[in-house]
Amino acid sequence: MTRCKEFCDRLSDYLDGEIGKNECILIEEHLDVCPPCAGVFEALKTTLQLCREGVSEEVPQEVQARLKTFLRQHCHNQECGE
Amino acid sequence: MVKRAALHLLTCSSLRVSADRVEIMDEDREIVARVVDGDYDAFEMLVEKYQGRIYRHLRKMVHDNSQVEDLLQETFLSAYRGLHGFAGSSSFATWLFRIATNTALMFLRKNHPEVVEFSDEIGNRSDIHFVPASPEFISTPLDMLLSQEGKRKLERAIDSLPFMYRTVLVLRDVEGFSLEEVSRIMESSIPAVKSRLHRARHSVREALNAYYAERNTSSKRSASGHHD
Repeated sequence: MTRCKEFCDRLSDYLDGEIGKNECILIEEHLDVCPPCAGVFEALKTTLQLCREGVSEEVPQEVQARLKTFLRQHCHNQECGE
Repeated sequence: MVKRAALHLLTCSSLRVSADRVEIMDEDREIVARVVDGDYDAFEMLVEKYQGRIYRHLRKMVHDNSQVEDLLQETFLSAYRGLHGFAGSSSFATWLFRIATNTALMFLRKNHPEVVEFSDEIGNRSDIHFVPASPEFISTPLDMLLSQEGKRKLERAIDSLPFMYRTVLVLRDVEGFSLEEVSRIMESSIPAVKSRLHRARHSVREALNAYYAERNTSSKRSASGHHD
C-alpha cells in the first residue's frame, strides 16, 4: 500500500507530463499490474476531464449588459492606459 | 499499454492545444494593439471574448455572487487602464487573469482575510490518504457525469476546497493554463502550484468517488425495496 501511495502521489505530475521518462516507465509498469492504482488513475483522469468540460462560464445577460454600460461610461472618460 | 495510449492521447491533445493557443495569442495581441491605438470597439471584443471565463474565475475565488459583478467590472476597467503596460511577454489571457486574481485577492484580504490566511488547511502533500477509486465513479458514462446533477456535484466538490487549492485547480484544470502560467498568475513557485494541484485534484476525485459510490448504494436499496 505504501508503494501504491507513492505511485498515486506522482499521478498528478504524470498527467501534466512533469516527470522524467524513466519514472514514467515505472509508473506505467505499475499501473499495468495494479488494478487499484489503475482505478485511481482512471478516476483522476475522469476528474480532470470533468473539470475541463463541466464548469459553466455563463454570464447572466443582465450582468453582461451592466458590464458593457459600466465600461463605456468609465473608459470613455479617459484614454486607454491612463 | 492502455495507460501509454492514454498519455499519448493527452500529449497529442496538448500539442494541438498549444498550436491553438499561439494563434489566439497572436489574435489577442493584434486586438490589444488596436485598443491602444484608440479603437474602443476592439476593447469590447476582448471583453466579449473573456467575460465568461473571468466571471467563472471570480465566482470560484470569491463565492459571493453579489460581489462578483463588481469585481468583474473592476477587472476589465483595470485592464483597460493598464493596457499600455501590457508588454506581451505573457499571453493577454495570463495578464488579464492576473489582474482578476489580484482584484479578488484585494477584496478578500480586506473583507474576508480568514479565507486567504487559512487557505492551506489541507496540509502538506505527504499527509494525503490513499483512497481507492470507486467502480461506480469510473464506470459512470461521461454524459451522466456531465448531467445537471453531475455538474452540480462537481461544482460543490471544487467549491469545498480551501481557497488556494481551489484557485490553482480552476486555473489549471478548468481554464487550461500551463503550470508556469498558473505560477505567474498566482505569484507562487511552480513546486507550490504542483503540490496544491495534486492535493486539490485528489480531493475532488475523492468527493466524486464518495458521491457516486453512495448514489449507487441508494439506487440498489431502492431497487430491492429496502427503506431506512
